[in-house]
Amino acid sequence: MKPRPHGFGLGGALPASTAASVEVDLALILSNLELTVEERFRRNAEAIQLLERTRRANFTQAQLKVLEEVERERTRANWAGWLGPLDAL
Amino acid sequence: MKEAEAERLLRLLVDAGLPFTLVGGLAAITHGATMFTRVVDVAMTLNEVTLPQLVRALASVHPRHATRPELGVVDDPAKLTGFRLLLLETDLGRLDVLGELPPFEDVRTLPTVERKFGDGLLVQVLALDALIEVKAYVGRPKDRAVEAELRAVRDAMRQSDLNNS
Repeated sequence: MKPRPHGFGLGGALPASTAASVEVDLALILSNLELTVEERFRRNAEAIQLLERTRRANFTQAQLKVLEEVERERTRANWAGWLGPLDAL
Repeated sequence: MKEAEAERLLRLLVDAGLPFTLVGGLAAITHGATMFTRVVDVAMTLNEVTLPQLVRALASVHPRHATRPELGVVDDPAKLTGFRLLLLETDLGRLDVLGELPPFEDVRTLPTVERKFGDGLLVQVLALDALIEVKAYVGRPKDRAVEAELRAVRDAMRQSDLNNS
């Protein structure tokens, strides 16, 4: 098995049994399984659009720019070992 | 990500003949997970053959490095040599291309299932058992939550198979 990459640094934060103890909404999952793959994708796109609208409604343009920069920095830090050549560009 | 943009992004890759597998959140959604994601994650080998293909395939949607947008449009595959992961922002949304998918040794031999999307688009999706394995390996809290849902999906499908047999 390969060593755990830097981007997966939180791997040890939870015990292995955590997933088994995470509660799932079985009714929601079962109803989701009734949908076609296309419908599941459409629902995902609608949810993301709603989240984006909420985000735009709650922050100013300046705040959104700061947030985006923070997110970019966090992503680069999380995946530093995988994006090595990026710093040389 | 607007409606169908994920499919349009996937179609660009399929039409280019790229040997990719859909992984990550959209693969989980494909299998029945109830999560949401704005990222299209695919796994494929990143080398001197696939990188030029990928750059050509994405040219019309202006790919930029998601974490370094000031670098401009990614149009030179030679500058992508050595990346193990490409985080790309495109006109159709975010595309992450993973050159490695631990704990699997080789992204060219991942277990996959074929799934049909809109307009007959056929995509190789990481198989449910393999996706559970990846989520368990990654192990972040959000991955644990998806892993739990995928296990519930698998149980429900097994139960359905039993009932139908």
